[in-house]
Amino acid sequence: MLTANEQLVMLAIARAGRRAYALSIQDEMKAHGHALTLGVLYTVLARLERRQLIRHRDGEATPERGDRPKRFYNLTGTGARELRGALRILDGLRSGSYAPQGA
Amino acid sequence: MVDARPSRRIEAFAAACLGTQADDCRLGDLSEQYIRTRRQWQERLGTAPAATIAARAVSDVRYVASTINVMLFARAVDPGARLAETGVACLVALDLRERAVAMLQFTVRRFALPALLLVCSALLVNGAVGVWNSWRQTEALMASAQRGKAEAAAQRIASFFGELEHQLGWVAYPQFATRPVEQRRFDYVRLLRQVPAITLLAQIDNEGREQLAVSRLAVDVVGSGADRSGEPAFTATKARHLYIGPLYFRKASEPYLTMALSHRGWPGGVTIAEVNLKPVWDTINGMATNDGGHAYVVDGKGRLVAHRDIKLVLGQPDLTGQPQVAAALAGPSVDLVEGRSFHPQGRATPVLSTSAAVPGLDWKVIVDMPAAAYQAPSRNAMIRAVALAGLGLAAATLAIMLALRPLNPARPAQA
Repeated sequence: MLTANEQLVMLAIARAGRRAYALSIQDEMKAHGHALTLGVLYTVLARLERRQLIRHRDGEATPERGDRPKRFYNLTGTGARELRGALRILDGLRSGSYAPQGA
Repeated sequence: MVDARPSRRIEAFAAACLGTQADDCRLGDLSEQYIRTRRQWQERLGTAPAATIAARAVSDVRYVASTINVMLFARAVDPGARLAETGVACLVALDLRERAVAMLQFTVRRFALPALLLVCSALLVNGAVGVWNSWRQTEALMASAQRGKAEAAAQRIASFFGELEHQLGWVAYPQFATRPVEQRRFDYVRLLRQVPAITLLAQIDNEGREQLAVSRLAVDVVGSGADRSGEPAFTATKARHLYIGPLYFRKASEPYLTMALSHRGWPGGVTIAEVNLKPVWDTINGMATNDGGHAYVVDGKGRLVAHRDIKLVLGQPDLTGQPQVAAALAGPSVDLVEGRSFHPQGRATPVLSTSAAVPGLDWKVIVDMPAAAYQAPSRNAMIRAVALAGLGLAAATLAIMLALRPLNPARPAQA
């Protein structure tokens, strides 16, 4: 089960490919009408990483960032499956074909 | 744009807030965000020095705000989230918490901040109006005080001459000329004792011959018969009961004038008194104020009669060319006329003057106040009023902009 912010962050990572880092994810979400502060974004990213839905790798340090590296994120296999499952539920609910267990 | 990077101090602050090392990638994100913000505002405002300062200030504020935001979530929200990461209910609670924070931000931005700014702007504008009104009242009070000084001095001078006329009246009764000379002398000596300002008294008969002269400074003269019929003090009292002559000086320093009172009834005659004007000068000298204001007296022809600078009075300058003196001579009393100071050695500076007529005389008391003394409080009040009004208007504009600024609603995620 993913929260709305987790789904949105994972979608933004999926859209950016292997070049997704905090500010590009924030830009992507802002471009689609959902503003997320860096504090919330880091919390969501940390949570997704702990659940092994995403993983990170550090890039090259750049002068623009004060010689600090960018931390790129990408979805793990589990993360991609989890996201597809969550979106399937959303699609099902939107089309009216979703029937929860026990109903 | 090396100079566009955040300062070391602000980066040290961020590192301390996040409790991390200098190479943390979050600090890199904050640094990159700072540079982007700086570029955006620089493009928006231009490259003027003031614009650069403003862009830097906005970037600094955003950097600090983002740092605090990250610190808040890293130290307060995330540890709580870790404790509650098991179970769907906890997940929902986390989601609700994040939404609550977002709603709180929305509420603050949409309602609380604009309301606060509107209240502040109303208070500031109200304050500006208050400062303006208080300045007007202060100016009116200053003018009123200045006018009061002029009128008080005029009244004191009028009282001085009124008292002199009253005292001279004691020796101007009809039978005075028919009394024995010793009696008349005794009356004059008594009058000299009662009125220190009088230094000489002379009795002139109806033909203009001097019959008696009693002085503080010289030997008394009895029955000299000197012809004084051509003197203005004698001729003027034929037409009017009282005569007050022009100013003159004794020993080039003591101000004097001649005062004469005609005797009522038969056989007539006149009593002439030489009057020391030191009390009038003392009145004028005592009116100097701390802010450079001073008073002086001019006669009906615009000649200086009393002033704190004795040398100036000894020169007897004609002041009809001074705007404040011309205005004073034109009417009974004048409020706040723009004029200029006068002094042979000094530079003429702008003054604001009030004047009052001395009752019973053609003299005017004029009180000059440096225009700077009026302008200083008004300039300060103006600066305060303009600054407060400017702040109020800026706050109101900001409040309206914030209230009208559209907030993008979150769109549903698309598959």
